[in-house]
Amino acid sequence: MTGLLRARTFLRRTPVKPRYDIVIVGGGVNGLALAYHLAANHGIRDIGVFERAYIGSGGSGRNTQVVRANYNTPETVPLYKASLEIWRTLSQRLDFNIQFTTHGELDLCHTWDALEVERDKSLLNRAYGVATDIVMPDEIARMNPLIDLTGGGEFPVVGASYHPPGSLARHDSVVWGFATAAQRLGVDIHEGVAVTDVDVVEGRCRGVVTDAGPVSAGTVVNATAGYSTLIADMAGIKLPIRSHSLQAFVTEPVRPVLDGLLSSMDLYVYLSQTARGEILVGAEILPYNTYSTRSTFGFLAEAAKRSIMVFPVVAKARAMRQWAGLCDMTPDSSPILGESEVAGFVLMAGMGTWGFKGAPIFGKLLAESIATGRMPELIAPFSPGRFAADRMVPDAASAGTH
Amino acid sequence: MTELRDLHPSVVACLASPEALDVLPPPGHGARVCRTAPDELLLVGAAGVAAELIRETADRVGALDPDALVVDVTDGWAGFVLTGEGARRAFSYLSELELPEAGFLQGHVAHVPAKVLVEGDALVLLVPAFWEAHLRRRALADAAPAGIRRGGPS
Repeated sequence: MTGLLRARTFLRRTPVKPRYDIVIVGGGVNGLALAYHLAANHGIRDIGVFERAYIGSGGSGRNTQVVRANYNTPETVPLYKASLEIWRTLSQRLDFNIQFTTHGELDLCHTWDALEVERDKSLLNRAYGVATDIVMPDEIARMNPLIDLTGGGEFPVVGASYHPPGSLARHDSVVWGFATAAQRLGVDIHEGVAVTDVDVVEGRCRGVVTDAGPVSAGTVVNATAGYSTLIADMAGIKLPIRSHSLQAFVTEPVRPVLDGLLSSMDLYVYLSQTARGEILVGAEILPYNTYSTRSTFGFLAEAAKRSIMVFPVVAKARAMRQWAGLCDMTPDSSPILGESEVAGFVLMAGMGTWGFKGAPIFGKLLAESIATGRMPELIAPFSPGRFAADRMVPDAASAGTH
Repeated sequence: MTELRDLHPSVVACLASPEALDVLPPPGHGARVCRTAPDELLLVGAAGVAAELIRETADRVGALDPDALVVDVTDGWAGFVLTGEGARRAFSYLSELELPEAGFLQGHVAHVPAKVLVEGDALVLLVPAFWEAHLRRRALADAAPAGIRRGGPS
């Protein structure tokens, strides 16, 4: 039996209660993963998730669906490895097909310096049990003969790192999977309800004010992306976060030509092919701060050019759709997880380009932290206090694009 | 007898303002219209008519919305048709979607996103091309109690 005949209720509307044990601000993949794990693993079900638009309307529905563990620091590799392990069985846990598929990730290098960085990364990954190998051009050609090893005649490929566990998951399905599973466990999810203020009295967070009225809470979690600094401001906290735009586009559908994720470490571009045959192209975050989610022609032209340099087939397909999302970048390109200097106000923020792939483990371990009062070892290095203590986890080399 | 047959339709996406799509005349070539979103519809026609559909639709929608886009997305979709007296029963093993007498709906079928066209006892299913083998395998397995079998291509 597949479970198909079991009744499945999608998001039901519930009235906003005047009090919850835990209020989560932000109905994205991280906030919903936290709500699910609090309810499923710790029996904490008196939870209200407040989303000002609709669930997944921010970065969760705009990211490029990449899941991987090939990071660059001793703190981040085991963290994302643990997340990847959850991803593999998440469909079964949530009873919702999140369309998780493992294809591998190939990171092309066009300079010896870049290949050296990838070699170091490979060694570190291996030390933590994460498969990342160095491959040379002849092997790359065997893996996908459509890759242009001359780099458009300008940037010859000197090698690559190959990360077999690299995967893709359908972002909307992940959001809906966490949301429906959390609701089944009794979590209230309020779409279209904005948090307008955070109630802090004598250094302790007492709840939030919403446009549906005040809501008191034992714990408030800021799980927003793009606007995490604005919610933190309401609690009197200045976060070291800058919001940048990250854009992507897809071509019209073509027959399968690209199995897995292909990226260039020097050209800052990456490609994958969606289930509907569209070639998805992304690039680096815009260098300036913005809350705008408008697409730009400059990005389209530049990303298209770079993608054609490594994968010329793209030139034969027309661009069909383009979009942008916001990335909350921290000074060290790592997430901020844990209680802030305001008691009862927890941060699940600074999700940059890593929020989607880390959501399952971030949700699981932050839930454990809230439920037990003890910070799990894997996320301890990512506490909000690390900036003041000068204990940052610098991982920009892993996190500039996807 | 209930059969699942492979279908090789032409699929054309038309993206335009909701107002333009609201008044767009029906397509020719026997194509069906699936309004997937306020600003997007899919035209599903017989194999090999995509170019004709695109030309006809581009002319019509271009007069209503100069920014409209008409694109051949045939390669992105895998088509199936579920036929026979037991088609609806077989479908009930694959999805929780409530089937109308006729028309179009979208949702999960065999755990993957799908478009469903209902035409009497015949159900046309479209799934992203990547899920073609999955849909075929799961449909034949999960709807086995409804006596489903694999038929020849339509």
